Amino acid sequence: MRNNKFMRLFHYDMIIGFRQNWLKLLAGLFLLIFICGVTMVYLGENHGGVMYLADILKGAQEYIAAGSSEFTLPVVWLILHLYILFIVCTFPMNDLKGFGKNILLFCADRKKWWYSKCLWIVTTVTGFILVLWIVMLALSGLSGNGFLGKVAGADELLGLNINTHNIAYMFLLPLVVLIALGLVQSLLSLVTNPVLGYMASIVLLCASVYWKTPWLIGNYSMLLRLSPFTHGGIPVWSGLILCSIVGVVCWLGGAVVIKKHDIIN
Amino acid sequence: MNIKINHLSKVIKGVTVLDDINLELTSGKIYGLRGKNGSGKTMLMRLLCGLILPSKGSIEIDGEVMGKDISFPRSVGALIENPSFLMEYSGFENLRILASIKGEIDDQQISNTLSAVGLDPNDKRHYRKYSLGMKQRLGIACAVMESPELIILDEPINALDEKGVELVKHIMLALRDKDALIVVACHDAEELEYLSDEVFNLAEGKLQYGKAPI
Repeated sequence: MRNNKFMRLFHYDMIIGFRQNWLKLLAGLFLLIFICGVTMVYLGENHGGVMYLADILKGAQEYIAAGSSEFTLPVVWLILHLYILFIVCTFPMNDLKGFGKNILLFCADRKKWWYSKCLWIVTTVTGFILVLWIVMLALSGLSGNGFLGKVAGADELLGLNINTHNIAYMFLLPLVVLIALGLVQSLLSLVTNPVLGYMASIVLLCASVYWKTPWLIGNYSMLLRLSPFTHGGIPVWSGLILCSIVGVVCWLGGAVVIKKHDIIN
Repeated sequence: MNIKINHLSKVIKGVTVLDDINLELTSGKIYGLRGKNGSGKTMLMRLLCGLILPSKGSIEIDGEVMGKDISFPRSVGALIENPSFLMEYSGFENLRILASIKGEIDDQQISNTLSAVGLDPNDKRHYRKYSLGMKQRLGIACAVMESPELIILDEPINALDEKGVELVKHIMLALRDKDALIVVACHDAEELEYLSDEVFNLAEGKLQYGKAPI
């Protein structure tokens, strides 16, 4: 019965979260198509979908402040990440200030409400990353080069070592980083407000671009910073562990915070 | 149901909105809360339904301490300030979504509740197109549809016409007769005195003892 209540809450979040965010999700789909299309045009049509995805997810080389070196942000990478975080930014708190108050009274369990929102974030982020891959798969299929295509030239073109063994990391690492960041921003939104939560995500991602360090989780979402793809990169396992710890701490920390949280408009 | 409020205080951003409230409430009665704007009526109601937690003191419901043993009363329905519903759904759909959380009542019971407050269960209009009075009626329907043991109504007759007021009064008295504990705040002193078994006055966050019996 208890699990049933949680599943009903999650069902509510999926339906209402989707309906209240449909415009953002639709715009996100167009954004993905645009990003994938532009990347294909930019790289040329002789590559497979994996190469295009690698270009989108590669991020930036380590910035070394010296003489004439300029710090530049990887715009496409940043837009993609910030958009996904934007989608999951407002729904939990808007719900809590509005209809969610009724939901809370009916479910009579603050923790379950929070866990359901966390699961909604995980599901939405996973769904969006999947859509990115599907869009790229579809576009590269339409271009006639297939999904894998030629990956041998990735080293020269993108500075990345891509092979069939590390393709899974291209999916997994951005996913765990975005889930962890989504949960961090939700916890901050609960403690402060959604705007500050989102601003924290922006700062974390920009700081990750500026500093190559295993402690800033944005680094694990840039293929150019990871050991399977580049010589001297950060080990993947540390990213998986760090993101898991951050995610679990926010998940459980939110449950403690919501228990003492005054729900006032 | 038995509610004991012990030395309850609430401080928000350094302002004491409720100060050392002591009360005992029991089932089968309607308790009226009277007070000027800002006297703390709504805060006390929020505390009773578990949306906010006391800064000091406690609320015990049937021996369970709120915020410690339970987050919310085990059986509560509430209308606090303006009702919040999903704009793009009809009144019936809104209530069905809420009822689906516990799964205790079916569509027929939802329809009956809507009819009882004077709303058409088959009205397909979205909530955003509802008039103020209809929104208020839906809020009351939401609070009472599962026949909770504790019902908290903040200004339930706001925006209602005469017929609506009569309906609400009838519903409240019927629920009291079914042993519900009802706490109601209302600006209309006459209506409050007519409905309530006991009326409490709140002024600047303090309870004015010396109840006004009916």
